[in-house]
Amino acid sequence: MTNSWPVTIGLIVLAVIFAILAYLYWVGDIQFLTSTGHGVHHSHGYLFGGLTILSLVAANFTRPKNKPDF
Amino acid sequence: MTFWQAVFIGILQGATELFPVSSLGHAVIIPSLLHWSYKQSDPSFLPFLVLLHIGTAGALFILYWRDWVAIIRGFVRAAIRGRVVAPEERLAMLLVVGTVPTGVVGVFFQKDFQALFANPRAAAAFLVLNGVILMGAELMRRRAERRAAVEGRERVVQEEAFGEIGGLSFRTAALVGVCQISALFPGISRSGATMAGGLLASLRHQEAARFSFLLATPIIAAAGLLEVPRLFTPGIPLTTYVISALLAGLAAYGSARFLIRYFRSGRLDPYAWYCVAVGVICFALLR
Repeated sequence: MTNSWPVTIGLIVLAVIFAILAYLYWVGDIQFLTSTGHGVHHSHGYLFGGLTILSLVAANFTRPKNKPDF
Repeated sequence: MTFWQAVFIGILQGATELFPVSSLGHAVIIPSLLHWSYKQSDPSFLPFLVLLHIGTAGALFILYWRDWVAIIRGFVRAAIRGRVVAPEERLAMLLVVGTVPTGVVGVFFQKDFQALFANPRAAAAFLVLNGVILMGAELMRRRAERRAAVEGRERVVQEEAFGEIGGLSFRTAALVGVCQISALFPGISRSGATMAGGLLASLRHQEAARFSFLLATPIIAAAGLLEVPRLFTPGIPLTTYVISALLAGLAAYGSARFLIRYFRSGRLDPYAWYCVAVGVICFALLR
């Protein structure tokens, strides 16, 4: 994996976007690609919540470090 | 749905979930063949499927509980450290990479795929396609065996020419995960698609099966747990559903143990022929 600050910052920005989408799906403010077109979509909220965490994990992986990767 | 129908579907789902023959396809086709009157589009059917999935995922967690403890610890350690330093940490990250594609597609397009649930003929056609996928994977494997100069030798020796999960690259794990997306179609087997992907990634049959089962567990569990609130809908025969889920779990546990043993030297061929034969027969009968 590429270790550089621009990639890390990009992933953090992505995590913030995912977190916002998770919140908006959770409260029912957005309906993009949902089955009913109305109401709250918890599964979409969970998905974007999970993607937020994974983006932050990936950001931590791409953060430049002193030691080489395994 | 009667008690005995629920029990039958539970055992069928648990037994076929891990065999590469599509549990969902069987759950769609067999009730239609038997002219059972309940509708799979009925609101009470989804909670039933939810519990069966939880039963199956529970069986897989029990079977691989040591692996899962190591995988979860490995994920947390590697995530905090920002670096993979141990085999279980690498396995955890491979599973994450392999799970994300199906998770994303499943959440956004699950309902579209479910529209096919009411069509047993489509499920029968996809079952034939599943058989063709398995045959294709074995054909490619036999070519790889010829290249590795192990053709005609004992199966155990042939298998030793191929790799283990730890040797997978992250890109390959993602591709195996993409294969799992095809299992959203009723008739295409999740384990069949991921095992075929594993074989194409040069895994041993047994390792491909193990990776497939590990990859399936979070998806099956998430699909079940996300729908848990629906279980508390009034009028749901919860006791019957729970008994069916327990039987599904027992059947899944037994079939997983059988398959891990079988794939020490066995191939996907018998399951491929079974899918083609059953798919063609059902397609003809369901006119």
